[in-house]
Order: sequence, then C-alpha cells, then structure tokens
Amino acid sequence: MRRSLRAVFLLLSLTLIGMILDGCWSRREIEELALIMAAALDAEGENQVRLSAFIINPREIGGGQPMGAGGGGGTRMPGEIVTAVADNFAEATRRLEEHIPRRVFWAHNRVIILGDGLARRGLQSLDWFSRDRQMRLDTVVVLTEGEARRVLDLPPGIELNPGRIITGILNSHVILKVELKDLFAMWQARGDNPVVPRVVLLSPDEHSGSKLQGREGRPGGGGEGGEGREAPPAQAAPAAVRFDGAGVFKDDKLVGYLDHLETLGTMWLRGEVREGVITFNCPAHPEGQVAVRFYRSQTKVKPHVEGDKIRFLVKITAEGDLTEHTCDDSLKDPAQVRAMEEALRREVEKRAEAALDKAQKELKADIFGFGEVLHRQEPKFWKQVQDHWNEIFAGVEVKVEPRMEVRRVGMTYASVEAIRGNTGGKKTSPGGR
Amino acid sequence: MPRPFRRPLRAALRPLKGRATQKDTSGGQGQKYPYPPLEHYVLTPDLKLNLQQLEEIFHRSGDVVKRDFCIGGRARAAIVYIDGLADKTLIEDTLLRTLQHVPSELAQALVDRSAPLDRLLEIIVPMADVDFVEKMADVVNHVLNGDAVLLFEGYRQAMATSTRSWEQRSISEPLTEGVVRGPREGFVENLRTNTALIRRRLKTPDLVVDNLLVGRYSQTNVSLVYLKSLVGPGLLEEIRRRLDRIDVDGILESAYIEEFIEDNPFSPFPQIDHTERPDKVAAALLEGRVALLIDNTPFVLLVPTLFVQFLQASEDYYERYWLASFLRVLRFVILNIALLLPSAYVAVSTYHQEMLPTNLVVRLAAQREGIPFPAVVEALLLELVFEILREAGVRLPRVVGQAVSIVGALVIGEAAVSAGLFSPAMVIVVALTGISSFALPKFSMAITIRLLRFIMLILAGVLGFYGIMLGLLAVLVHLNTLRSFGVPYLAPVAPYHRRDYKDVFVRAPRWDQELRPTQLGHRDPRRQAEGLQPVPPGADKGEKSGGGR
Repeated sequence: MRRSLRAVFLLLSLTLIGMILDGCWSRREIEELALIMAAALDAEGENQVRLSAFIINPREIGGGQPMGAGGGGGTRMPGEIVTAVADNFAEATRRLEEHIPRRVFWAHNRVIILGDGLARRGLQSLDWFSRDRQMRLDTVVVLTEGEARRVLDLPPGIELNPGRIITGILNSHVILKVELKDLFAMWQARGDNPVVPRVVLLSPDEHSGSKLQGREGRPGGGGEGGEGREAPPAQAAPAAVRFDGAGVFKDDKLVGYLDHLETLGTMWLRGEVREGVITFNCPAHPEGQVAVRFYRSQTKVKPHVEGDKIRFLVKITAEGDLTEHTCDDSLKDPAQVRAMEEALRREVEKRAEAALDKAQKELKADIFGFGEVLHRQEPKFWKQVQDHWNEIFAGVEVKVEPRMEVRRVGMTYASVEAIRGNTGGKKTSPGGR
Repeated sequence: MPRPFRRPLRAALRPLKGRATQKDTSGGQGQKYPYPPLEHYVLTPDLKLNLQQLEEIFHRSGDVVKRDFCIGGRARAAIVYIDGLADKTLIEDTLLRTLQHVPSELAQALVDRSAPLDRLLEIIVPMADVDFVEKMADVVNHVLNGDAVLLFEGYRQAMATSTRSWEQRSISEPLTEGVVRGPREGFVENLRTNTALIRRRLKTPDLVVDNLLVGRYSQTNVSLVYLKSLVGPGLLEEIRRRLDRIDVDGILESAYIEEFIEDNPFSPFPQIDHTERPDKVAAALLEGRVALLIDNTPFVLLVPTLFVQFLQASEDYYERYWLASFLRVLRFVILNIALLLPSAYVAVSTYHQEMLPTNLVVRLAAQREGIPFPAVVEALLLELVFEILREAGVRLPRVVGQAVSIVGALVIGEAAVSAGLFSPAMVIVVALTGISSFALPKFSMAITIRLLRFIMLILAGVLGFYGIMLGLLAVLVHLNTLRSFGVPYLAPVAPYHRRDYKDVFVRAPRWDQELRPTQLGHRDPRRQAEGLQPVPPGADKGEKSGGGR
C-alpha cells in the first residue's frame, strides 16, 4: 500500500514537472491581444503591399474599469489604425507588431477590404489569408475603388468600428455578400470568376443629407478623426459607406465593375438573392408604382449541350408580398395579381439580361459559375472546354425563365386613391416612392 | 495509541474473536468480548467476590453504580448499572421496590435454592426484556450497554434487565437533505431509534436487522439492514467479510466504516452513499441494497452505490416527474459547471480567444485591462479566497457567521474588483462555480468536484483545453475502474443497461418503473404490477383485459 502511494506521488510530481517545463508557451492573456476588426489591403509601389488594420481599443468599447475616462469628452477612440508596408502580408503583419504594444490577433477580423490597385494586380498575395490558422473563412471581403485604407477612417456611429459597420450592412441580406471562403472558391474554380461587392465612401452630406449635421454633429467624424493625418480637403474623411455594384475578377485580376442593376442581376443568376424589394411601374398605368418584397427565391441552372453548342436555361423562382401598389386596379381580381407577377417576371429578366450582357459582351468572364454547373452536369464535355471557358462563355446562349409568385397583397386590396375617386391613379403622392 | 502496546494485545485478542463469532449468547447485540478480554474473571456464588471483581474490572469508575439490597428482606442481592445509561427511575421505582417487597416465602425460596433461579425470577421480576448470563464478560457487556444487572448471593448466574435509556436528540428534520415535499424525519444518533424508523416504513418480517460489534474500545453497534428476499446473492457475505476485517480502536462516525470497506481506497470519489433520511434508506432497501446503520451517528451507509446516486435527491421521487427529470438534467449541467467553469474560462481567455464571440472578447479584454495576474493565477487566488470564506462559514460559531459573510461579500465582490485586483468576470465565474457546487445534492460528491476543480484549473492554465480534455479523460478512465461492492460505479451508463435508464438522466413516472435496477443483482426484478398507468374510468376494463393476455 505504501509503495503504491509512493508510485502515485512520483507519477503526480513527474506530470506536474512535465507540465510546468513545457506548458504555457502558447499562452497569451486576453488583454495582451491586439484584436483586428478590419483589415485593408493595398498595393504599394511596384510589387509591395500595404496592410492597414483597425485594432480595437477594448477599454473604450468594452466599458472596462469603472474609473476609466468617465463621460469625459468626445475624444474616445474606438480603436487605432496601424499600417505596415512589406513584400507580402505575412511579413506585413510582423511589421505591424513592431509598432504596436500587443500581439496581433486575426481571429476576430470581420472584414477584409481590397484596394482597387491590389485587386488589379491579382489575388495571389492573399495566399497568407488562406493559410494562417488565425484566419476565419467567414470574414467578408469587399472591394473599394482607390485606397482601401480610407475605409478604415469610418467614424464611429451606431457601430464603433469599420468592421462592424460593413458586416452590419451586409447582414441585411439584400446585398451581395462574399466571404473569404467564397472568394477562394470562386477564384479556384475554373468555371467561375470572383465577384466582390464594392463599397463607396460617402461624404457627410451624402450620408445625412444636412450639411450642418454632417460636419459638426458628429464628434470625431470630421477631419480630425484620422489622428491628425492631413487629408486633402476634397478627400475629407468619409462619413459612411454604401454598397454599390461589384468588382469582377477574371481569374484572379480585377477587370471591371458592375453597376447596381447588374449586380442584382448577377445575384439572381448566381442564386444568391435572399431578400429584397423590386419596384416597377403598373403594367397598365405607368404612373402607378408597385413594390414587391420577396423573401424566398431559388435559381436553377441547366446546361444543354448539343454538339459544340451549349445553352443554359436559368430557372428563377421567387415568392414575395406586395408592399406597395398605387395603380387603380383592384387586386380583388386574381387576374390583376397574375399581371403583377408577369410584370415582376419581366423586371427580374431585365436585371438578369443586364448582368449577362455585361459579362458576356464587355467583360468576357463567367461571373455566374455556369462553368461549374457544366462541370457538374457534363463532366466529359467540360474537360474539352475548361481551358478556354471564359471565351466560350462569351458566346453561350443563356435563357432566363423567372417565375414569380405574389403571395399576399397586404391589408387592403386597392390603393386609397383608387377607392376614393377611381380617378385612374394619376396623382400618386410623391412620398409614395 | 502507542505502537509497542498494540501488537501483543492484538495477538491476545485473536482467538477470542473466533469464539465470539461462533455463538450469539446474549440477546441484544451480536457479541464480541469486552476489551481488554476478561478471561480470568468468573461469576461465583459469592456475591461479595463478584462485586469485588466488578470493582476491579471497572477500576472503581465513578459512574458505575453498585447497590446491595435484600429481596423480600431475606435474600441478598446486588444491582449494577451505569449512571446515565440506565433508566434510574425505572430501576428505583419499579425494579428495586418490587424486589424489596417480594413475599418472604419467595425470598426464602431464593435463599434455599428450592427452585431454579430463572423460575423464581419469572415470578418476582416485573420486567419483560431480561437475560440470564453466566459469564462475567457478559455481565460487563450488559452493564456497559446500559442494562441493570442483578447478582444474587449463592448463584453463579446473573440477570440483566433492559433499562437502557439515555439522553438523546429527538427526531428532527434532516439538516443535510431537506425537502419541500416529503417526510421530515431524520435519523438520530441512537441505533435503536433508527432501526425503528426503517421498520416503520417496511412492516415486513423480510426486513432483517443484523447486528455486529466493531471497534475495540468503542464496541460500536453496527446493524446490517436489508430485505431478505431482495438483496443480491453474495452481497451480504461480502459486506460481512469487509466489516469483520475492521479491527480498530473505535468507530465514531459512519465515515470510519466507509473508509475501511471502500473498493478503491485511493479514489477521490465517494464510493458509498450516506443519508440521514429513513425514506431514502427504505427506497434503497426496496431496490435490493443494504443499509449499514452505525450507532452514535445519524448517517446511514448505503451499498452498493452508483455514481448517478450522487446526482439524485429524494425529492426527485416526490415531485412531478417532469420537474424531476428537468432537475436531473440540470444537475448534470451543474456538475459540469462546478468542475469545469473556471478552467474553461481560463483556457478560453488565455489560449483560445478565437472561440469567443467578438463582443465577449472585447468585454473580457477590457475587464482584464490592468489586472496584475495572469488569468490562471487570478482564478486560483479567487478560488482560494472563496474556499477560505466557505471554510470560515462552516467552522465559525453561528453568531459571527453574519459578519464573515458581509466581510466576504465586500472583500470579493466590491473591494477586490474596484481595486483592480480581480476582474468582474472572474468574480462571476467563481461565484457561479461556488453556487453550483452547493447545488449538487450530495455534499460528499461536491467536495470531490471541488478538489478536482483545482487540478483542472492548473491543467487549463498550463495546456488550455487540451489540458482540460486530458484531465477529463483521466477522471473518466478512473471512474470506469471504480466498483462499489462489485457493481461498476458508472452503471448503468458504462456497462450499458438500457432498462435502468428510466431513473438516471430522467425520472420516469412511477407507474412506468416496473422493474428494479438490474445492476444490483437482486433476486426479484419486478417491483410492481404491470400496467399501473392511470386510465379514464371507462377504459379501465379494456385495459385490464388487455393486460390479461
């Protein structure tokens, strides 16, 4: 008995010593981390890159110690922006650590902002983001024209850091959302090309409408927000961002942009529409407006191969509710609802056509992943075309067949105007649209 | 006890022990001879000599009362008892008075020895529970147990009359196992009262109370209580074998016995359940377990014991089964919180920050800003403070308890946080852990968990979740090796018994629990009739005929 006790003690002390000797090496206390919330990637010089990161200041955001800077004044900074230039991003991160007192921590990064210049140079330099184990593949990727670094200057508003602002907007489900893993997937697939949403910086006027409010109403939102960095007056610090269109990559290089409508069409064709509103004029009376809020949609792409000829049939089905209807027809009549659905169908078709036109005629890049569909459905045929798919895609015939369904027409069946005077829906109130 | 003294004595005792187990002569207890042995004392017909011997045996102890008197004015006799253990009023008012006023012809018969002693005493002694003894050792034994022993001039026999009655705590609500609904009786320190409490719940001749004596000096009565037709084969023999091994000075609490009869003496886990609720004991007996009642303690041991028993409260069976099942599941959560919460917090906040939601990371980072210790040290210190407070709360005289709790709450809750020594999150974690460990129904399991928590904390601080997993694995492996009187500790989970699952993670309704737990190996598996689920009055007949086929 005594001997077994001794053995237990020996074992225990050995394990303890073992743990103490080799343990703890990867330990980093939570408050020693520099949490990156947004990263901006830019091209620098010939072939260098610039990494800018928004590092959160937990003291300001998390409340922290009760005796912190109280309700002092407007000088609260939700974080710090740091920048480093290097040959690649892995090195740039190390450079960052040279001038911040904490260990860089990427796992909570919310958004990667690609600068226009870097995107045109190619995505090759993003390899590190697919390799490092601190990266999250659900980080969203956005594109901006000009310098990506400027997006980080977004002033704190409802949300306190640019990462949160951008992801917050993207979570509304109406905008094309591309995560890091989607980007890599689109890039890596031969039958697909990356499409990345574009953010546009807004000046205070554009954001809030009123100049007064825009300039003085937001502390830290003006020129002094950027930590004394002198920006040219024309390029005053942004007040907000807006998503507008998307950048199109061919293979790994940015080749052009889609406008708003084309982006919507792309989303329909890729089957990435989740929610949204489509507005169009009344089928019978162009003065009236109809808005449909749809919430369920599905896109099915079917390739047809006959000899050398490839056709794609895109079936889009969506369901939605009527949310605005200022025509004077009464929706009591189901035929009217059918007419709405028909108009809706044309509207979706229009968007899809716009996107197709742009992709086939101008960019000559398959941004809809049709090649991958072909790959899955006709693998043998795909083998023949995979090496020059983008060129073939430009000449492919695509037929779009939307099927729209209006589920509910709302709490009333005709507009107030129509019920009142049957005047033919001429005077739609300007506030209605 | 000094060492050199011990060995020869034990050697002297050995042959006697063998003899003692052979025969149960004196009525009340299964008997071992008094310690030290009284071989060379014998009862003689000479009353004076007998009294002298007793005086020598008891070393003229102050609480041993000896009194000479005359039966019916003629026959000389003496009574011996221990003051405080025997009922003085009974002895004085009934026994002595009756004996002194015995008709003189009967007394003469005693003197003349015209009839056997027992026949004569049948006529003159007004007591029901009497015992004739012929050995001095038996006399001593009876006296020590609170009986009054009558010695007679001219006889080699003595008569013990049961006059046991001493001051004892009255039956009260069990302190460690309170219930909202359910009987409020708890065991007391008196073995006899305790067996009666069980007997009152199981009125069957099948209920057997087996007596043993353990402890050289304490001569503690231990009762094995079981239902003869339910207890598993071999279990009783095994318990007796383990109890017979015990050869110690004294047994003062059930824990003494527990430590001697455990299957794995090195395990931190309790392998024998104890309770102070008679209803719980009765329920255990009905499942085929054996209860060990030990004199002078209100705690009764139940064997065999399974791990899940420590997560069950008797109230589970008295409240609605939906709630009981919820509570069962909740207790598993509580168990995990009590064991792992601080270590999980430390692991996550020092090794795996990517696992937390961003907002939480930011909050925690902000709170830890400026805290002078690493998270592990912070957790260990705060746990230590908590343990100190808890220990103080238990040990302190009740009057000052209030002061401690106020100071404790102030020290930990307020001052330490605002002084920036501990982060508020850590205080929450430690407080929740502490409360969780109190929420476990069995204290003996809670203290084990409490200890393991520190080991887990160190593992987490050194190796993160990897360390926690290693620790958990070790605990799990260890739990799997444990047995309680041959029954696997983790049954019915680890050796999988599907039928027993009705009373593990959930508590199935009473009418559905038709079978006794199988892992105990009892004889009669069925505990109630089939188809007892209540049905509407109309459907009753159909149900019955359905059950018939």
